[in-house]
Amino acid sequence: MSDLAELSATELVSLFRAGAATPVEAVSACLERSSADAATTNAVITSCYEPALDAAEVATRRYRDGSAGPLEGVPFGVKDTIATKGVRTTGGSSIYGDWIPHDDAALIERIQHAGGIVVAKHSAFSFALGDESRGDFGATRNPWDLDRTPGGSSSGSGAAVAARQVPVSIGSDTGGSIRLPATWCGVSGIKPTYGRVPVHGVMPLAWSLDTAGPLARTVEDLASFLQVMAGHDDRDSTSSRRPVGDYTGALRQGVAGLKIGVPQNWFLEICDPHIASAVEQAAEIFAAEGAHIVPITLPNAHLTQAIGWFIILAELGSLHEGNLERLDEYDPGFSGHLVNSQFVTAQDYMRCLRLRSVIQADYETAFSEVDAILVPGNPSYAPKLDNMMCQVGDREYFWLEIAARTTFSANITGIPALSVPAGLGWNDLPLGIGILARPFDEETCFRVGHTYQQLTDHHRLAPPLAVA
Amino acid sequence: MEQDDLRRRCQVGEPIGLDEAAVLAISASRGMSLSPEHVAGVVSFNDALRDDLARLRAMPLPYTGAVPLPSDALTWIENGGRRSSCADEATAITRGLPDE
Repeated sequence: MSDLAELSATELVSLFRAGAATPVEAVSACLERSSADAATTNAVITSCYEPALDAAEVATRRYRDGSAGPLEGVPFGVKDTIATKGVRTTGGSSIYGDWIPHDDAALIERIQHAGGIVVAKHSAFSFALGDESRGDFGATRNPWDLDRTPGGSSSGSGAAVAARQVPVSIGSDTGGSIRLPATWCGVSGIKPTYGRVPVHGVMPLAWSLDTAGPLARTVEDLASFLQVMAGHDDRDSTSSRRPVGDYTGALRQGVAGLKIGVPQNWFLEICDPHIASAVEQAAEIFAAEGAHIVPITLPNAHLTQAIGWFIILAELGSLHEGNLERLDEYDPGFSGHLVNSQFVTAQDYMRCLRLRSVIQADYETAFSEVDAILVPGNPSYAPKLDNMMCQVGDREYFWLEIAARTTFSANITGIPALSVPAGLGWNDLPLGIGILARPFDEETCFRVGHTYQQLTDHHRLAPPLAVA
Repeated sequence: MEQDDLRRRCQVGEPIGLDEAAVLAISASRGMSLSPEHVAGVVSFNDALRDDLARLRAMPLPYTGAVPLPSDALTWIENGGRRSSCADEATAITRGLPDE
């Protein structure tokens, strides 16, 4: 039998149901993979070793007595900005280094109710935006090259899933924090529609844009997890009451007849040529499967970075204003953002909130012609931790200048966005593509992404670290 | 003369750069004591986003008729990506398009 840590959540559940493996074996395999983490990716802040094994025993019994849930016995990780009952939740910062929540976040309750088992709390850029290399728990490292960042802010989630420590880890995304580490680590990730997954118990970065969702190696696993995470929760005023779609059912639908837009402006204007080629190749694959590829334009896309940044800064400034006198306790990255937040005017913040409608109108026009939009996952590759510079052609950019270039629009509009790996670039580092759809149409993201993974092997590529 | 220039830039919505003195004055008025690194960071951040901010401030936001509000964004999401007719009008004005 394969090393159970190599398998997807879906494959594990199949083995459990067939009696060919047990949750105890799978959880043990993942914990074993994580044991060398501190010397490699540094993706784990807190291991849940004993409670995970206890839960795995219970899950194993449930398969025997026929009461197993849909994710019964599946090991998963959780970004350390998401509350876990009885397990410290640091926010990636020593400021909350001793905080042990009394309750699980709503989405954790749901996954555990479905049978999922938390095996580790995964590192994050502090408070979902802090320092990529000088955080309080040390730099998290990309398993494809330990000198490079996995990206963030769900850095540990991306690194751990790529390193085969877990099949799935839950992250959060306010400007690209699921999709960026997914792309740079060669795994898949979905930022759901704003309000689709309750964020009660998730440390907020910017309440107007915050979402939470899974990272995994396959789109199939993303669909299985989102299926149990989505839906209204009374404790979250931003969570939607709209019915939850059939995400796992959507996987079987293919892309024949779908209209897929490819933006002709902004997204490819600053983009590594290999990544731009991957977008073109993906479009050809979808066309060969019966999709119609349609060139589109999103006229105000150039405004998205500024709108996103000013909203995030204004809202994080409000959320953390009670700690302004503790500025020195934040890591240098986050404290810099917190200081900057104090100089965003109320007028500019309100203007940015009001201008969201302009960006949404562009997407509404686009979605009157197409069902999905295909974009680069990111314009560049994971930068080195010692300088955080991203190369695009013969130019270098500081990562914050371009990292959210292809991701911010989904947060500003609120639409769902899926990232899937699309191979390796000229430097043998992962690259990805992104798939956007109308609000609450995660099914279309999954249809397109799953089709892509049925026809390519990019999602099966493992970093040297995981193979070793 | 400087005062006139400042007034003109405010009237046309041109961003006014924050120099070190301005950052120190504003932070002091709020009782914040910033390190030289933080001051330099604010100046650098504002310089980097100055052009973007100018573009944002140049976008018209009407005061009469259908006024775009922050809540419109949430309504659009909840409507599955469709505007109300009221928001249609506001967005058309904001984008400088003829009324629909």
